[in-house]
Amino acid sequence: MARMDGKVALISGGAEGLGAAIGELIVAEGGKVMLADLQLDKAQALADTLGENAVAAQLDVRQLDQWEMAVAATVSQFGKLNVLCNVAGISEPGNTADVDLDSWHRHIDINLTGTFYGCRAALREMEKNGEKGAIVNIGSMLALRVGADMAAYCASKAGVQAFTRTVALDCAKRGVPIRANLIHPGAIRTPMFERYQNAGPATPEEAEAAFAANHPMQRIGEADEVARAALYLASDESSFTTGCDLTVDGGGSIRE
Amino acid sequence: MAQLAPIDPDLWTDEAEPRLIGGKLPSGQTVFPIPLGEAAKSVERYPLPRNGTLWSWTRQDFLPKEPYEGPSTGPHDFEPYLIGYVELPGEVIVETRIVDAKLEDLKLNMPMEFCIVPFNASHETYAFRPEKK
Amino acid sequence: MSDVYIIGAGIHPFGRTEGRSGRDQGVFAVREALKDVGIEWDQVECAYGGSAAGGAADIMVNDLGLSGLPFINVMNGCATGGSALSSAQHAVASGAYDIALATGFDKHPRGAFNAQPAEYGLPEWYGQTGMMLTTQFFALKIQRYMQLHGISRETLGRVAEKSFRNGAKTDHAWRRSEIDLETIMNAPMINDPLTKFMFCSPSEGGVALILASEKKMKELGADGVKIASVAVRSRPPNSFEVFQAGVSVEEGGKPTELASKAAYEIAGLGPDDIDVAQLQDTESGAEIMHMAENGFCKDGEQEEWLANGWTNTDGKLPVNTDGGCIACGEPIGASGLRQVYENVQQLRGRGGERQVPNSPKTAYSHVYGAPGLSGVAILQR
Repeated sequence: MARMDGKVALISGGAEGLGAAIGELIVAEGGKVMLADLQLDKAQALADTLGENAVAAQLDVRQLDQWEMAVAATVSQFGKLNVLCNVAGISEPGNTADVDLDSWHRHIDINLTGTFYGCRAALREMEKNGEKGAIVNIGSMLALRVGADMAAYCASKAGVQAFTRTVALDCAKRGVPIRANLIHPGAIRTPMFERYQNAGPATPEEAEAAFAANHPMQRIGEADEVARAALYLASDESSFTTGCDLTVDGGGSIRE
Repeated sequence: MAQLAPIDPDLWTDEAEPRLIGGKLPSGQTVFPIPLGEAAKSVERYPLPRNGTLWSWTRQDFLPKEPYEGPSTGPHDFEPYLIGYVELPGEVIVETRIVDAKLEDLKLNMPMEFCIVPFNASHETYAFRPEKK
Repeated sequence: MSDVYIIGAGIHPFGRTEGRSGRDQGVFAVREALKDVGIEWDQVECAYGGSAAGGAADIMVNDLGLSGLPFINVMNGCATGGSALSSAQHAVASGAYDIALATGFDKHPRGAFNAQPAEYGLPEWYGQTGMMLTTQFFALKIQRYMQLHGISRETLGRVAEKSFRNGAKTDHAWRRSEIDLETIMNAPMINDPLTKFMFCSPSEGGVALILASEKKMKELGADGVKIASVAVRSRPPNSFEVFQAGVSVEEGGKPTELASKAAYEIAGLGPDDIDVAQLQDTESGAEIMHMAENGFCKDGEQEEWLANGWTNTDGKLPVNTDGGCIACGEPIGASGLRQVYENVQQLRGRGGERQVPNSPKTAYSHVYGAPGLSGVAILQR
């Protein structure tokens, strides 16, 4: 326990789903979190339940100046920044020939550029305190084992993978004690997943079963399974791990 | 070093001690720079004094976008520069680069003198520097 | 000329809203204002609206309804909102109309304004040698002011700190996180003495105000605020404005002082009568200087004011209660109207978490911008 003692983390997409689960776990492990999200009210409500070690800020990850504000607000509240978790992301279907152009751009802007902006805004601040730091990004099972009809999503997440490795090398080369790693979730039970379940013609149970079938472990994952992976990568427990791909996908990316 | 061309051929006079070129309006008011085009017709070319006092200042700490043509190739080799206004007594207050000074040394009303300085690989421009005692 | 009241106010959140054009944000604001009063679009008898970068305002009728009303487009730089308000007020005061709309919206393209010298009648060297940045103008203006009147850097920081604190309580603000003084002071310098967090950020937004005659207001049973005066003025000779390579040695007048004096005179009021003020704060130095230019204190007294928190929401003269331009950004067409919107809500007691206490009765708004114009509006409850 207390693996995040003395650490301050900024989490994008912190209002619900994976971001919220990561935030809750970091606070439970003795850390402080800034839950940054487009949905400020939800993020604030969650922060209120977590107590004095959690605060909230409005963040549209597509805006670099909003990232800079979120970083400044985190430092203002908690005195420093050690950990950045880029969790905010979207996932919409679309094949190459037909995918809506706005959808393509949204995926790049939110999933890839949003992650870049987060690192851009946070890195200098993270270096200032001289302490060990960590960047945790979210990739996808679909970045490792791409599928059809997900052109924008796969491209954006594959971009996040290469970028995370670059950031890891940038920090290592400059001798700063900050590591950057990537989690590849499979299908995880979150509000985003629930929106999928309810979107198509199938019943929610049928939809979940269809997703589960893509995972050798024959189920979908739970948010706190991803959160525990994020905790490992965010804490000093992963002290010699940088630029890695940590799958939380029930074997989905390696299925036969 | 190759000869640098003035950033603008008609910005300062071609003398041993060059002077900034302003304009004298029919009303007697001095302006800078001399107006362009139609407006220039009734304005007399008027070289300005070389000495004045510091009216205000600031520093440009990040690389400006175009039309800036300074010598840096990118943000990594950008050198911040000082910029300000110098009051030429009785005439006009001119905007200018400031050289041979650090930001923290600048004081209101400090005596300043005109000079020509290299700007980038091909051009020189005008500036003011604290007057040497 | 009869009294005119603002009986409805609507706003679209300022900031960046992907996928919604400036005009759509204006339409949103108009619908909110109509809901506020409880009337339909076809009851509005005339409209004045404008935008700097968002296109023609009158096209809004395509979305609001083709009621055939006269819709005048206003294009007046930073005074667009003030001019729209002024025109709408005159329309109702004259007796020609009973209900009028004043609206403004904007959506500025991303990236710093790459101003070109030729657009301002300046020679190329001005831009080539790196003088073509508006942030420099603000820094140069406040730097001199600080030297002349003994204003400290902390005071600049305290203004921004207040802006973020107030913005955090404001639904329509863009920047909604509190940031402490130290972080503001230690942020990267843009142009000395102004750090990154002392500047507003150009953004997007829309505001709509419904104006009515007293008779109409009573007929509708609406919750209205009286317009005591609106004054818009352009610059007098020798004023110091942006992108001036040469400034007159004769200290010129200021458009703000002209608009302010006119507004006080028309209303028959003075600075001591004002309970809450929204003052142009493109950056924190502007708020400082405008406190004096609008008559609320003498040059140099701002130091004491900010140290004592007198411009906080619970202070003796709350300034920029919704965080101003620093927290809301400055969509040019909407900014001036946002200030009036905020004052309307404060006077009606609808400020929520940021409500000025003790039922403020008189509110003052001041907008200023390039190429040197200013608009002041005084409201009374």
